Amino acid sequence: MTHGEIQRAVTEIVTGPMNLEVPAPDTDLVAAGQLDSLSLVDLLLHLEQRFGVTVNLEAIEIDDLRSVASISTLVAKRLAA
Amino acid sequence: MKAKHSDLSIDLYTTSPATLAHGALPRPGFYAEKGSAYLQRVIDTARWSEECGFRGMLLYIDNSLVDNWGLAQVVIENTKRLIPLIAAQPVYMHPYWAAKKIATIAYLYGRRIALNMLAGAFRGDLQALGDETPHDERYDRMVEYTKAIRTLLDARGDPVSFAGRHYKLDNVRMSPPLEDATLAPLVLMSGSSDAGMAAARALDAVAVRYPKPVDHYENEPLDTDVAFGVRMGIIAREEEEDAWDVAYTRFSEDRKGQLTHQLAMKSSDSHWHQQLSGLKQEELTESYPYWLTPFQNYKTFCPYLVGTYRRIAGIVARYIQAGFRTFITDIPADKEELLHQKIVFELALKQATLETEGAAR
Repeated sequence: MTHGEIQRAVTEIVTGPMNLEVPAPDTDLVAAGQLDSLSLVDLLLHLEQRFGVTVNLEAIEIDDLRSVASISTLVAKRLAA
Repeated sequence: MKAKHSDLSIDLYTTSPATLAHGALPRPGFYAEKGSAYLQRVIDTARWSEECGFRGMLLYIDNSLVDNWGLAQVVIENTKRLIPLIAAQPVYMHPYWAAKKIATIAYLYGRRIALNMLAGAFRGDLQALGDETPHDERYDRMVEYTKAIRTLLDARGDPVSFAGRHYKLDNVRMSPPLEDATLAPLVLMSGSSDAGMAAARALDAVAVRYPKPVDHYENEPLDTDVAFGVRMGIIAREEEEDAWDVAYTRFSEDRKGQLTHQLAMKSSDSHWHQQLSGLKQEELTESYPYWLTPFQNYKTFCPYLVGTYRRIAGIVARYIQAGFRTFITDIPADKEELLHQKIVFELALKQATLETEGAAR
């Protein structure tokens, strides 16, 4: 999967089932108040189901989950691992 | 609960059902129902606890739960002697008002309460209230808070002045006064860090922790200048298989719970959160009934002991011998669960007493 395909899939998740507004890939969704602790867990579940990866929160930083761009980078790293 | 022919005794508390906030992950013992249905659940659990010989019932508090002082009044009005163990976070209430509530309960009901002093486990709750106080300083504040409450209660209505770093009282008189000194609150406190232990010493409080496997305390004995308590879940039956059937039915594994747990641990600066998270179930011996699945799946915060009465009583007896004298069990599913726990504690106290007396001979 290319990085562009990953980013498109992540965008589909956050704007579809997550119902978040994403003006740009680098919009900080946490600072914008769109991602809180409850929705963050939902996001991780969607990512795991869509990409077939397992996310270990102990091994990542919240900053990795702030924007569509950073989430896509995280997913790309997990897929490559 | 006191053993015959011995001074060995233990204090037992259970835990009240809690409210489940909108959108929060479902957890056993947390209920989304409203009003009278939840109220009746608290009343039932309080009555069961009293009938099964428990001394008190823990009433949690955090930003998502109903006010536990209100619940304490419900408990008192629906039991004869059960002590509400009220979790108290300094950020939520001025010590003057906490002291007034304690004195008011004594005045209205002649009932003692217990305080479970918190320094705060989840930073998010405190940050949402504008409190950025660092971990160790929160314990200093909690010590000062508790001392201010005690000073007010000890004054018997005389004017009180108190000059602390976090709290100041200036010639304040409390009405009603606490007339009966025997109704002064028991003080327990949560925390197992160095700062937490220093606070327990400063307050002469029972230091309550979520325990590690008991052999840890046999290898590294507890300090003898502090009273200790543990909070743990217990599921015991005559047959091992029956106990595990109940345990697996009550606490299933689920990925959402695991992720919520990991996220909660990431945002916590609690010493015990980190300690328990550091224990890996697979590293514990297969035969040892110390079960972390409920904790790791965000179903509860304490480890569980699961097995036969005799086996679990044997482990509890070892905790007693290691120095733990206060036991706070998790939210019970029903009265039957507390009756099973009662059997375990009676057996454990008997065993610990026999072994203590044997060692003294």
